[in-house]
Amino acid sequence: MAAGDPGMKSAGPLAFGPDGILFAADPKGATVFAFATGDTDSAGDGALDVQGIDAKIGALLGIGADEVMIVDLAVNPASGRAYLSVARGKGPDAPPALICVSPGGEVGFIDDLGALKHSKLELADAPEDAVTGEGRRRSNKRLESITDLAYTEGRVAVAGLSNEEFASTLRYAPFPFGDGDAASASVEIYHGAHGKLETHSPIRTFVPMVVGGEPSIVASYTCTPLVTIPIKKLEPDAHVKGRTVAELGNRNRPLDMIEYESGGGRFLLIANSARGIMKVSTADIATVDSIASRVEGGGAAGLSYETVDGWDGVTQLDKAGAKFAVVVRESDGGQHLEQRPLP
Amino acid sequence: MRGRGRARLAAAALGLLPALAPGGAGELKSLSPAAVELLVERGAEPSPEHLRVRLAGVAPELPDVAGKVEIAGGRVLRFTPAFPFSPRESYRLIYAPPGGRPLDFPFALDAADDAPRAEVAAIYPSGEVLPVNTLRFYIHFTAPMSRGEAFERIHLLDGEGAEIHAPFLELAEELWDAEGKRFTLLLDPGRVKRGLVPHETAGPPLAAGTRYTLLVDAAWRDAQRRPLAAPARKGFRTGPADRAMPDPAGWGIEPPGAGGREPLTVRFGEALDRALALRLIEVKRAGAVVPGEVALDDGERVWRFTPERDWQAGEYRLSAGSELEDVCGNSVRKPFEVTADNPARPFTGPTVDRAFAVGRE
Repeated sequence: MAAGDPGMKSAGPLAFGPDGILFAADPKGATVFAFATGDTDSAGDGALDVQGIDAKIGALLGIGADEVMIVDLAVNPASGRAYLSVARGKGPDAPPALICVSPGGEVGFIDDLGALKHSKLELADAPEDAVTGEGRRRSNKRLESITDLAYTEGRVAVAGLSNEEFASTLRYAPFPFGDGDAASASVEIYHGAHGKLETHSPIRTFVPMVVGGEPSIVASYTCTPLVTIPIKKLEPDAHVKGRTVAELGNRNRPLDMIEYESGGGRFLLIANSARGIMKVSTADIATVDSIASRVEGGGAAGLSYETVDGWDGVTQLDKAGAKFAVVVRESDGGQHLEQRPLP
Repeated sequence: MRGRGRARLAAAALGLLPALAPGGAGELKSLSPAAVELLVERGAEPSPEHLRVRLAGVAPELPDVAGKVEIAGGRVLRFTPAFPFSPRESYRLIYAPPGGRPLDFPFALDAADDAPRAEVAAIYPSGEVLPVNTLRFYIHFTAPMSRGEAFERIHLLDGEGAEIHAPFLELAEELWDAEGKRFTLLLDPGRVKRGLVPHETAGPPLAAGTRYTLLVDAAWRDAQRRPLAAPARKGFRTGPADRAMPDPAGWGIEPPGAGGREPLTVRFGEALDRALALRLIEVKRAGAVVPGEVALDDGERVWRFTPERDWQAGEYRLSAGSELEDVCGNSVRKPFEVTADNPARPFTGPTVDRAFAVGRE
C-alpha cells in the first residue's frame, strides 16, 4: 500500500475489512480501493445521530442538500465511526467525497485521500471510461454499476450489474490485492425459479454469513429470492446457482442488508425500498428445503420474516456494534443519519 | 463547471458597501470556480486562519465550505474550495482578522443559463410492435442528465392512459452510460420471468395484444438541474413473446461489391438490443477487425457497416459476440429463461462467425 492521489472518479459502495481498512468501490473507474484509514481506536459511545445530514454534507462540499447523493454507509467496527460514500452532485461527472461521522454526531470530510495509504483492485473486463460517438464501431466494453461490496474470509466480493446486457457478476479477489491489473475471478450468478427455470439475476445486496458451519454469502436478488452461496463455490468463471432459502414476495426491492444476533438467534435485517424493513429469522437457514416448487397462493415461503414498523424511508443500513443499527432515512424532504436499537 | 471570472456583489443590498470600498478591510480580487481571492487592506497582515467561506443562507450551525486558505503573494488571501464553486449556489466570504474590520459579503459565479434545454433524443427499441416479454428500453437524451429521479419521471400507460403500477426494475444506482446521456430501463424481471411469485401474483408487466405509451415527463432534470424542454412519448403495441436465441446462422447477409465503400447489410429477422448490436458485431478480414461505422435501421432489425476504406474482393467474416441479446434478453448463447426444452447453446467460443465474400468488380 502506498500514499498518493488515488484518482477516484466516482462514489460507490463501501465495506470495512479488519484494522480500519476501508474498501471503496469506484464504478466509473472500475476499481475497488482499499484505504488504510488508521481509524482503529474506539471513538467513544456517543450516538451516530445527525438530523439533516444531507444539508450538513452539502454545506461542507459547497452545494445544496438536494445535490448530495449518499451512495453508501459503512460503520467501522474498529472505531464505531460511520463513513458515507457521497457523490458531490448528481451529474455524470460528480466527484466522490468520503464523509466520516463520529459517535456524538461530528461530521467531517476526508479531504486528502492521497494521504492515506491505499492499494487497488482493477475490475477485469471493465471498460475504459471513454466517450464514443454514435455510428462508430466501439472498442469499449460495458459499463457496470456496482451494487454491493463485502470483505469476508480474506477476500473482497463485488457485485456488479451491466448497463447493457442483462448480466450481473460477482467478482472476488484475495486481499491484500495482487499487483497491477490483478483480474479478479468473475462468477455468473443465477437463480433457479422453482427448479425449472434458470436465469441471470442481479444481486442487489449481500452479506457474509456462516450457514451450516460453511462460510457463505446470503444474497438478496432483485427478483424475489433470498439465496445462500458457499464461498468455496466461488471459483473462477463458475456458473453458480444460489440455494433459495426464502421467497420475499412481490415488489422485492432490497437496498441493504445486515446480519446480527438478538435474543440468542441470528437474523437478517433487509432494507427494502418498496416494503420497509424486513427482519428474517435465520434459525433454519442451513436446513430449510431449497424452494423448488411453485409457491401456492403467491405468498412467502422458506424462512419466515416480519416487517418492522417505524423504519419507513430507510435507504442505507449498517450495524454499529452488537446492539445498534445506523441508518440513513429520508423524511420531511431531508436525509437523516440515525442510530437505533436492532429490532 | 461553467461560470465566468466575475463576481456579482450584492453588497449594496446588505449595506456592506463601505467595507468593500478601496481602502476598506479588503476587497474581492478574483473569483473563478476554482478559487476566490481577497485583497487585504494595506498595512494589515493577511491572516489565513480568519478567512472562511460558507454557503449563503444556511443555518449557522451548518459547517463552512471545506477548502484551504493560503497567502497568494503580498496581500492576497486565496480560498481554494475542496470542490469547485457551483454555478447554482451563492456563497459568503467571511474575513474577521483580530483587530481588523470584519468582512462578510456574498459572491456567486456568473452562470449563464443559455444552453438549450435537454430533450429526449430517442427511445429504443424503436419499433411499433414489441414482444410482450420485452425486457429493456434505452432512453437517449441530448445532454447529460441528473441521477436519482429516474423512476419518478418514467411512466408506462395503458391504452386508456392509466398508469401501470410498478412495471420497472427500480435500482437505486440507475443504469447510465458514462456520459449520463443514455438511461437503461428494465422491465421488472421478477414479473417478466415465469414461475416467480411476482409473475404469478402481479402478472407480467405487459399484456399481449395491447397498446401502451412509455412517457418520459419533462420534470426530469439535466445535470444543470433544469427540467427537460418537453416530455416524450413512445407508443407501441405488444406482439407475441420472443423466447428464442438470436441466431447469426439465420441472418441475411447482403455483401457489397468490391472497390467501393457501399455498406454491408445484415438482416437479423427480429429487433436486437441496440447498444449490444452496435458494440458486439464486427467485420473481420484475415483475422483483423475492419474499421468502419455501424448503424441500425428498421427498428433495430437491420445492421449496416460502412468501411473506412474500400472493400477488397475476397473472404470476410461477420463476427457476433455470444452475449449479443435481442430486446427480450435472449442472447446468442442463452435464452433469457433457460429451461429443459429451451436450453442454452454449447459454448463454442466468444463469438459466432459467418463468412461472406465480396465479389470482384
